[in-house]
Amino acid sequence: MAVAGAKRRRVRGLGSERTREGVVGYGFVALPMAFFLLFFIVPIGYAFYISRYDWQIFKGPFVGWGNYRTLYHDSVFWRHAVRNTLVYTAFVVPLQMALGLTLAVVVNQSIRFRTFFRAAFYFPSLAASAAIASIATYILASDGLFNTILHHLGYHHSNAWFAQQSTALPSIIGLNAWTTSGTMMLFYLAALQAIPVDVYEAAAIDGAGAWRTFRKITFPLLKPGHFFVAVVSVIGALQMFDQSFLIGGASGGPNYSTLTTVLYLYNQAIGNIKFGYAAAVGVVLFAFIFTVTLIQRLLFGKAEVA
Amino acid sequence: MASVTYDHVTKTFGDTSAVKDFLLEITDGEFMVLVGPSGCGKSTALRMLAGLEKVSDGRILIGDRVVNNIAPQHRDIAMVFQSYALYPHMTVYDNLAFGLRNQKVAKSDIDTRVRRAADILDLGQLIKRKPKQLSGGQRQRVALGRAIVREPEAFLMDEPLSNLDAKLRVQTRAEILKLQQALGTTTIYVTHDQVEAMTMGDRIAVMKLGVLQQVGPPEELYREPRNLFVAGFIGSPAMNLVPVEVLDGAGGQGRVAGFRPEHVELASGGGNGIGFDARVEVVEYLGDEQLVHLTRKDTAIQAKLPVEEQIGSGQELKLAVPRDKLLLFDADTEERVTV
Repeated sequence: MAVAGAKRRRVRGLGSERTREGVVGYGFVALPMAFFLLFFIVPIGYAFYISRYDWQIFKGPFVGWGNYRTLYHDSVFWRHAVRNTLVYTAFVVPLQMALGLTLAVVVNQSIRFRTFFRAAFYFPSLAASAAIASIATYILASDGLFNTILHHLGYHHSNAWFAQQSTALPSIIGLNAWTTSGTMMLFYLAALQAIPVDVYEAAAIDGAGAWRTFRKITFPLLKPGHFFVAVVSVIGALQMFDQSFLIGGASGGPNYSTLTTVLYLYNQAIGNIKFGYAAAVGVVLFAFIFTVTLIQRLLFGKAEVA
Repeated sequence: MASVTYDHVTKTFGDTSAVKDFLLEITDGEFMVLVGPSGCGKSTALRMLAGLEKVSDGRILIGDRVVNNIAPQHRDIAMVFQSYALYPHMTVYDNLAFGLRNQKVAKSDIDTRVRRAADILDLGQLIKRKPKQLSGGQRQRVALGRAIVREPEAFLMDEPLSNLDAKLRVQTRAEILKLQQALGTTTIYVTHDQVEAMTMGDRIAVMKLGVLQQVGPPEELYREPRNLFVAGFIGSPAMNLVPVEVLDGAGGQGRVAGFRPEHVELASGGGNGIGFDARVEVVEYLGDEQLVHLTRKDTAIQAKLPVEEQIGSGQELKLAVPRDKLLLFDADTEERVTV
């Protein structure tokens, strides 16, 4: 009996310790969760709520799905904002990934001044996008550095790259691929360093040269890294705003060629004071990003683990 | 197949010498074990041969070809790593075939050789699995398969059994030996486990702090250790190494007497042995014999005695060591001296 009693006390003691641990655990996550709820979940819900009203500065009449119906027939939204955003994403994501991976592979080698190169490659990601956009406007001006270099190479291009409808968006793609490549490099560097050294040693002894090792060992083993970088970069690309705004102005010029979904949302909210309609744009964009990320997870999410 | 020669090889990392003036000749088809405690330079010596570490000084030869500046992939060697280092994203088949594909071997030949290796190592059923779906022992066999499928000049094995449990280790030890004998490929095997070294090596090279202590067949190292380190390292339980003063009549001053626990006998009076008394501290029953821990003049001594003898803690025993089994070492130089 005494033994049984002692056992029971011990079990009860363990239980209360578990409860205490649980309380402490929940205590630790409570604050971040409160922030998450307050600044992410509530605004998403509230945006959806606003999108059902003809909301200007203040709450207007309830319109149900009215804003969504208008958006469905909005040709500027679909033919320019959405189209540009998709084109931008389709080009900038692979470019960012390729650049980031190349830089990561370079600075992962034991080369001289490695730390300097890592910092140098990462630097554009730290610089303010306004500053970079301003400098890029000079470089890509009609008499800018870029055209001068092209001129010396025997190619004559006299127009400003951001001012031409055909070259404005590709120029922003190039610019943003460069500015974000440092961040992508950092992600890829972390993924590269997670590959065990002895796998490379085994490949070297197995007779694989540098290119074959990269193709057959490094690239496939970076799968979790590819997934992470792809998700981050697609989400970032679908939310592109600042460069378009700084370079093409609020209208996304010239002639809507740099108008993106988020810039369109901004124009509706701040320019036209149509918060209800802008919220509907936001909700559609959120649903799209959510779906794309889910698809990405299904396609690449199953990472190889050694 | 080829011989391997370390010709006065040195490896330094900054100010630290990992391997010092290493001189070793491994004959064609030989199974050479490099053994020593961790940090003795055995793995560094092996990695230099593989081309994974640069040689700081001296030459390494495979056959009569100096390989110091030859990349690992051109040395025609295969290596089995302690961690197995399998390619996690490839199937067993692709793991085995990778080296052959790199050599641009014809597809049909690759298939034949991979299937033959898989047969030898009993991997046939696992050929389509990935490493994460295999047990430790199966991964180990894939690592071995990856080495044999290449038919290289030499196998290099870096503690290949240390991640296996005791039973599997003994079993795999025998499999590796059988495989090496069947293929006749020169093998350099690194381990910190002297039992592994004794049971597997044609010859054993014992290393300590980057310096080669002694090379020879297992029996020679066991019977004729050149110095105190080899004497204490080879053999389990370890050789008794006691100041000569502990054994009356062992001879000399400034000497250390060495004798193996299995050579200690219960004194029956007379004989040519060196007799001594000792007190029993603990008795370990081993089944076929008993390991008796004793003290004499505050010095610990171990003896392996027949189980038939009734021995208990606190008992005073009269023991003897045959003169011809007694080794003497210089206490200062630690080298063996003749009795």
